[in-house]
Amino acid sequence: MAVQPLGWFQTVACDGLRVHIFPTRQFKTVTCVLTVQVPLAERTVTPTAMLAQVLQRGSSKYPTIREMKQYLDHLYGATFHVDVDKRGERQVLQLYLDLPHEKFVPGERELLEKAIAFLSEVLLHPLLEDEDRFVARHVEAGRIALRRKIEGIIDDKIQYAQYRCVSEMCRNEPYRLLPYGRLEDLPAIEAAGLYRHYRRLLADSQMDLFVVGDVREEQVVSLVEKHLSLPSRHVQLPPASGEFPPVENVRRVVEEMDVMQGKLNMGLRTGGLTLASTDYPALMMYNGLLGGFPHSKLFRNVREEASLAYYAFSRLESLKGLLLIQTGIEVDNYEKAVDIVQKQLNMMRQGDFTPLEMEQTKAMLMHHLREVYDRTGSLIDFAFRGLIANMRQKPDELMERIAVVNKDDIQRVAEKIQMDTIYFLRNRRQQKEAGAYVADVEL
Amino acid sequence: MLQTLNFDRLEEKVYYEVLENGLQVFVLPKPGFRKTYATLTTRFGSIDCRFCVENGDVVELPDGIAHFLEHKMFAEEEGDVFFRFAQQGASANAFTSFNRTAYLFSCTDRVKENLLTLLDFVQRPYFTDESVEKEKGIIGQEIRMYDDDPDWQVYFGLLQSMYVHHPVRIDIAGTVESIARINKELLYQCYETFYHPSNMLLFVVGQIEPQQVMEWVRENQARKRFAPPTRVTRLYPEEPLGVAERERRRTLPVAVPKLMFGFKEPQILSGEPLLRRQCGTELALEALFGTGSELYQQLYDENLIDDDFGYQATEEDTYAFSTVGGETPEPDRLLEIVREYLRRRIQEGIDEDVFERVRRKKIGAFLRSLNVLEFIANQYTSYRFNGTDLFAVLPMLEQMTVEAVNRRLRDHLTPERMVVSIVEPTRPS
Repeated sequence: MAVQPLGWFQTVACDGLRVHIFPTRQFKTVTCVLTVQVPLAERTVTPTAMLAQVLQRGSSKYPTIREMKQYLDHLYGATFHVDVDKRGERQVLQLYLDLPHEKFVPGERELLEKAIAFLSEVLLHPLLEDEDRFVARHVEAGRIALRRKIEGIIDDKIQYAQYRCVSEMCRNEPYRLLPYGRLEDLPAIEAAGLYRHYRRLLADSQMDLFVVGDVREEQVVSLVEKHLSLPSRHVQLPPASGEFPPVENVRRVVEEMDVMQGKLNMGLRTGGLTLASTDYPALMMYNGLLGGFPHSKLFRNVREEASLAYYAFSRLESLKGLLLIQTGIEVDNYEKAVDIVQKQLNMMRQGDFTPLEMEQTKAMLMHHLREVYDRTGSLIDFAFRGLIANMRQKPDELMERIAVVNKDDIQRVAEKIQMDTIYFLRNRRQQKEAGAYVADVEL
Repeated sequence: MLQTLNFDRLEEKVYYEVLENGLQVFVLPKPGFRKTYATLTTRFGSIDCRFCVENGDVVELPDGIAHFLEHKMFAEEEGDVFFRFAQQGASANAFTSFNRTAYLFSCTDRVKENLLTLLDFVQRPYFTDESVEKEKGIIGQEIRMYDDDPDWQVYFGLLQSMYVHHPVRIDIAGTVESIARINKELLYQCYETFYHPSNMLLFVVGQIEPQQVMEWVRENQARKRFAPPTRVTRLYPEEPLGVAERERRRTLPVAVPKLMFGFKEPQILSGEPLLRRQCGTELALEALFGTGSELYQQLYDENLIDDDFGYQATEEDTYAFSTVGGETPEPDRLLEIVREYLRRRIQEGIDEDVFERVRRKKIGAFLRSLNVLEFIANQYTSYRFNGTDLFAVLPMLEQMTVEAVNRRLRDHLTPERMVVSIVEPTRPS
């Protein structure tokens, strides 16, 4: 079967909102994602996270969770959630809605209009008290939920170790912040102040709506004009990468807890390379050769050769310019594992990788980029990350750039990669005091 | 002979054939997708640890051997098959569940080569003493990872309370001690017993031409020799109708307690009755515990749950149960509310409006799941092994009645077969 050249999102500037539409008959549902972007900042991170909590607890038309959920059930079990996420140094408030296309549910009409109207209802018509404040009970519930989310990071040890590594590494940058905000800000948030924050956010944030499914462009645009009309704005956001602080020392952090497995996480800086860089395809190749796949150096040497771990991989935070290595090991094997990883990093610097490894890595990267077209979520994610980095390209275009990456390009990238932080979560030692300790080691 | 199953309303058409050696092959073309996803699955999982072959003695295997075998299948005489897949641009993997082991890949190019690589590596075992020993370190770390995982621990705590003897109560990966007993000979024995083509199913979905895919597979299989299939009897211990214990608690270093409760299904089904009961159970659970239920609202209002609160109905042909739960600051308070609610709701049942709402929701969720090729392949295989069909879910949901769901509610959600598992935070010493 011949592969048809595939389309991409068409962007239409509506009032106060950019609309990105991808018409396709590939899926049985229509996915709509509305994003509100703000700089990740200490002062606003917690109130913005709180908005996600309050908005999903009730709107003027659906004042309780139950009424909201029952309405969604009637829309053939539309999946809906409001949450916050971190994309580089941006905090993103996101409304996600996915519902079946009406052609599969006989007798159903205007499902798309109901979807857009529902997003508008939740975002623009929240449940208020005295017209100038959110419902105090919802703010209180949101406070409890956020506290639980922030404290609960520790429950998933893989995720916790990752979070701790990044927050040690970026301790002087906004990137250390969790998208759910800070515990210490929670008590002060109250219904009237939060409503003022909400009004400001609606007035001057960057907003985007993505729609993927069997829809027509003009149909979506006219529905947006009818239901989601917003004041126009001109938004200038600082770059999502933030600063690129120089690395002077390798910082080692060890933390003790009642765990069975040690988690070794390493944070490296890419020397300012991000999704927006010319050398980004070479950085993707670097990460793929090092630890992105089962054929990569980390998996082969930490797991298959040395039998030290079940998982050992690396990944990029491409909007921020970080490379993160993660593995779970027996506590006593800490030095051994660090040595093996260091050795792989040295090999990358020395260009010690074969044409076969390059061929495998290119083939895998191409596969994952083609795969982007097969899920509504990954299509939207790819397009959104491109918008944030101000780098609008289709997966096909990125593939073309990867195809021409050569060994010199990768070694040039390898020169820039620098170890910043080595974090280890381990079991408790009998005699010593528990808790974290930190040592800066000269390079 | 290539046959077809048409599901016009869903715009889906499945092609299938049983090959001479017994391998079942299913192909589902998905025009528009760039990806092809394939699974080769054997009916051999963690619960198949006791069996006998025709005229043979009873064989007992160490816990975790199906999963161990899955890891070792990737080793080939010329090296790891991951390298081959990588070169062909395919992302390969495998998983072991209670009752099956699946080998899989996804690719967007070189479909034929990747499909034949899958068939060849799964049909060509290569184990050495040295590589078996080495794998124990890797799987040991996989087990340690799950030891620290509160969601996994609360789930197995529940199954251990629910089942007295059935091996579904045993961790899929086994224990560090049980895998120490695994050797090359045992792996070959499992392989010979459970990896015969007649015990396996190949599912291919994506941008493919069915006739052509079938041609490749036929040709590949015709070139290989297999022993005649033997009849294998899996020996499961007799499981009492009742539960092992009411409740199980353990502590881990977590911030928020995890609660799971569930109901053991005493009677085991397969085929259409299994599908009917599964749809009924899911509708009943959705009505009582779903996000639009009275209970959900109450628990949410009292800040006892987060949006991770949910339920799952498991229906397989040797065990069936349901689970409900999530994180909660006060597991005991939540349980008290649930018990009171169940007493009332089971008596009253649900009305036509609630029934219609939850049925719509289930239909939508089913359609959504068909967007995902991985889901289709894995679930289609599972439904086939249980003697039914994934695409029959939609008509079954449409046939359901409020009376059937109310019967299900009373039969399934009985207090005598309810068990509880809790993971509590370690108290600071």
